[in-house]
Amino acid sequence: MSSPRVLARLRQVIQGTILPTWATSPRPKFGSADAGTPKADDWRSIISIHLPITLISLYGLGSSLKDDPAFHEILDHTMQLVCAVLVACKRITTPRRISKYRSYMQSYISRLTTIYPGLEYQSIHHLAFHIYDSLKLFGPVHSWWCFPFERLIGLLQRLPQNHKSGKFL
Amino acid sequence: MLSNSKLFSGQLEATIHRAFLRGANLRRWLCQQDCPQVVRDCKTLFEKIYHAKPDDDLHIAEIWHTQNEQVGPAVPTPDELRPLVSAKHVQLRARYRAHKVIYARRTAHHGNSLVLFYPGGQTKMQPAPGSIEHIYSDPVDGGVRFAVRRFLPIQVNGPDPYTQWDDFPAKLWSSDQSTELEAVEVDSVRAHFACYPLSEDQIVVLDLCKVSWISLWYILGFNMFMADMIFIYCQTLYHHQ
Repeated sequence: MSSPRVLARLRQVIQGTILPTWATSPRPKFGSADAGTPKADDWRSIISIHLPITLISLYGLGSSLKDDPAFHEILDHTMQLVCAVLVACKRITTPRRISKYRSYMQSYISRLTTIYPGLEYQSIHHLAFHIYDSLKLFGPVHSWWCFPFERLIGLLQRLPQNHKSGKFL
Repeated sequence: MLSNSKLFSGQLEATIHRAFLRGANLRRWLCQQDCPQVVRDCKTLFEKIYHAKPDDDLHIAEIWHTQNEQVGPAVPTPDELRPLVSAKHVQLRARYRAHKVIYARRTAHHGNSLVLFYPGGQTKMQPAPGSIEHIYSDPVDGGVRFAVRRFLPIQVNGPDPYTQWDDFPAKLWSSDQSTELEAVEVDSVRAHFACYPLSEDQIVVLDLCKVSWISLWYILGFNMFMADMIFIYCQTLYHHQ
């Protein structure tokens, strides 16, 4: 997945995909030091737009590697995560979509150590299942995800009064 | 809303409040006619400094163009638009904002011109991809419409690899487009789509809709309902004071 071939095709897809202005496009040299640290918005674009197109063009039906079961398994496994993200980020939440999110995430996480031997489960994998609970309790993620608070933190960090006790504008 | 700190109670809120007001007043001053030109020249620099990514600047530029665009006088109807507009003159525009989304004609911004639309407004049909070639005001009723050039379907050898996953709404289409334009109502547009040219004759079309067709109206209706409830609640508080 981190092979030079995949990365080269991913950069090609990033540069070649035509998007509306509201959709984030990562830096063309994604993955290199020149491109800087990807933001959460960059990762969302990568997983929901650019990476699936890249992998399907490399490993999907019609490609030269379509008959290789190992590559096709990697593609199908990654698409479970892609579909989980797309379903979870919808502006409308329904019981069916919540259930789909859990199914996709279950399929993705349960096969992780099989497809990538040596990979260990992390706490983030456990946390992914709690998003299912939060979707049921609080509805669409846009209502309760942390991006507005992160933006506010970034704004406060840039104020000249930061790190100065008792000072305000 | 006071913080837990007994020493600096309220200073966080005051800081945020004053920072917000100062920023708002500065942005307002930069847009005023009485602002010195040398200071207004700094506006572009401010926008570059305080926006993290060039793409944000592009989106803000598109919003600015949409808000400040003057719809000019009617121009002679382009030849390709004549089948849709019988009048000799028509009002055209480069951009149009609807439901908080900016649509543009292809010559103004390619990405904002790529839309999935329901032919004839039939939401039960599969949406078709197309590019907006003209945005015009219908001389008959004054309504804004899009003149869209449809992408043609493509025959692939075997199953379409991009349609294998139900929740990844992508499909292969031909990069060739129809020679004719179609009149599309703004409300018949489903969403923008991401377009990747896979080869000379194939494109990947990825639906970027974040809600379903019916759900969009539900959101609008629900927001209006909430606005009414908040208004009534505020009125109740006012009368009880």
